[in-house]
Amino acid sequence: MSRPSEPSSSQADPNLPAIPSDGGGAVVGGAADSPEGSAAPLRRHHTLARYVVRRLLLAVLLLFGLTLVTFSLTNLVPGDPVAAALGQRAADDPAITARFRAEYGLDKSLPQQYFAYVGRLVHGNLGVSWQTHRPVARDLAQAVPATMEIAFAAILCSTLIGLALGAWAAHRRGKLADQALRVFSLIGISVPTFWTAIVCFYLFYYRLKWAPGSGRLSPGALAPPKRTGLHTLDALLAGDFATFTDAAAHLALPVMVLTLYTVGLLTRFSRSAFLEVLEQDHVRTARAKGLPARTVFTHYTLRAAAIPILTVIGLAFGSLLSGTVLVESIFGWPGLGSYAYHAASKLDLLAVMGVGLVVGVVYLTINLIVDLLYGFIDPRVRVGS
Amino acid sequence: MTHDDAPRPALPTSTTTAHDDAAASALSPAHDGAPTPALRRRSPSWWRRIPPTWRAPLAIAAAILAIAWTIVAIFGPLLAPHDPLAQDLPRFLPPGSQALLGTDELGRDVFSRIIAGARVTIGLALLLVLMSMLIGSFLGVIAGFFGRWVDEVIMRLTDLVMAFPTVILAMVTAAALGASLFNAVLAALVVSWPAYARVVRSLVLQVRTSDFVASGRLLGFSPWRSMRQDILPNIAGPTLVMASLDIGTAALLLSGLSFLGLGAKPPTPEWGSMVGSAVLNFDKWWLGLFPGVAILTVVMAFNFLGDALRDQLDPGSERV
Repeated sequence: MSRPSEPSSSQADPNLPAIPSDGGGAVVGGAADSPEGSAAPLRRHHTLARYVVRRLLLAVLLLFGLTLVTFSLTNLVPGDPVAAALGQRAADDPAITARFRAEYGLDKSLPQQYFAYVGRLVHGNLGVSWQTHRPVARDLAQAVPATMEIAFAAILCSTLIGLALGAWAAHRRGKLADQALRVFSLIGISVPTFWTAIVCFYLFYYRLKWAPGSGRLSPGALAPPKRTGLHTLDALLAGDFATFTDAAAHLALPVMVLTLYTVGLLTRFSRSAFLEVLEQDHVRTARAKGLPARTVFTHYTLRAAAIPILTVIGLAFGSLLSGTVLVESIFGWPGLGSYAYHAASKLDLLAVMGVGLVVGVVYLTINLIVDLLYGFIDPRVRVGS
Repeated sequence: MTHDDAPRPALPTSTTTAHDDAAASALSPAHDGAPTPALRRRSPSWWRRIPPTWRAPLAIAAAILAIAWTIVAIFGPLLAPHDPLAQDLPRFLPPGSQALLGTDELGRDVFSRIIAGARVTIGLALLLVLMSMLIGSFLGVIAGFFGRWVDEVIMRLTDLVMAFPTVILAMVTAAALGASLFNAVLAALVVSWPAYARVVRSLVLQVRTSDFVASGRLLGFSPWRSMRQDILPNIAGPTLVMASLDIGTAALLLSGLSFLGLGAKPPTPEWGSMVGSAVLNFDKWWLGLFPGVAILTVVMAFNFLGDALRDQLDPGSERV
């Protein structure tokens, strides 16, 4: 439940780095704790490569951890898996029980079971959903592009709006606009997303009839030829503007709801990031020597604030993915969220684990990209102390 | 201070709003000698004793809201006009004289259910925050104090938990444990302790190097005594602040799990699951709207209070 508090100016807020890498070390100098960091002044041009490798290794380690988490959670289930899968009568028959256990490897030791589990995962086998009676992996493969379409659109919108509002608030610090934005962003992080979704759906679809109904496309509309899996992008690639507008119209409402959810967080963080930068000497110098405000902003402020803002975008992506789980089912959006919602309410454990794994991997990847971008943006990060 | 707000003259006005006071105290002592107090209407002494951040209109509104909800949570059964579980009213009655906020799909009074739900949501949020604070602080103190492999193991564990988006991991855990309110709290606990462990660890790292800790150790304090006597009192304050900041988020997470059907079981009046059941009847707007407003106001009240608290205790975070 890490509502990340506004980062304090002086030290890296230990509450902030929910970056799943090495926490606070990432920004301040991830290399600090690695033994080879100090012995490398001669091979400095290799440091970026080494930074990348280290991040990748960390990501692999965390990926391993993710499987450990899902595996132990799957084994946590109270009750007899035989009874759950075959029914109580079968579970009472020792012969059937023994065969079932042998078939699913339940008679082996836990470590053996774990390696078998990872082996299955590597082959893309996430088990069969109790609910849809289809392989979880196939269900997920259909759901992921739908969710990505929402998530990318929402992160784009909320980043643009959040940055603009944050910059505005920092610029007008202490004034009315700043106060108002502070209230706005505090409300933004207090609103239950699933509630906003219902209210917006009722208002814009049922009452005002502005928004088209649920789903990704109007009933009867054909999906564009699949290339990326994102309907809007595919329609554009196919040059099919009617389908594009249809897909975009269906996308608008869920994206709006999710943007409302993340924009408060982004506004808050970018405001404090900008404030911190505005205080720095080089920005003051740039202003003092008479550079136009816009140049100062784009060339000095924005660039120096890029790292904390990148961090927040990574964080916001996480809360966005959480948000989709709560929101998609309301809009009938056939993505990971709807799938997780239906699986969770039916306690379809393998399907829920599948969603957890996929989302975990996506989140990990996003944060890996963020980490790698640090290295490119800020030379101090890759060089270390 | 940026030069934006520096040249603001401390104009003496008769209305002493909280902002003026804040500005005035920020500019003191340079402006204190000016003969402004004579022109000011004296506010009562008890009022001036409240720190400026708490005199801001928003903080007051949040405090009133939080107190009101707490009263509702405590005295809920006395305030509700109906039994929250009784199905004795017509179904889907719109808000009106018969039922203030309408009735749900089983003919239960929505207003009474919301009042009964205050106890569930606020109580469990407090329980969750308390438990994650205790567990997180314990692990954080151990990690910070002993360092080495203990630290390494605990911190990698926090990394692992934080590698999942919160709601997803809580959902996965709750699904594995089985749907019940208690399991929802456990699942939320799994995702919420690492934040405390990290903060507490970094606090301990700051305190641990102080001379008084070292002298205690040299006097022969056992590690546990040193932790209890020298370290704990010094980290308790910030940790409690962090916990109070967290109450709103905790309520949000728990109601989200209930919305997914992983928390409260059907007859229990819980706000998240009330909104969840409104998904099926979204044209009956009152089913989802009012419980959602309840969640929103509770979370908002605690978030605004937490914000004010942070302002007061750590003005640096605002001033930059």
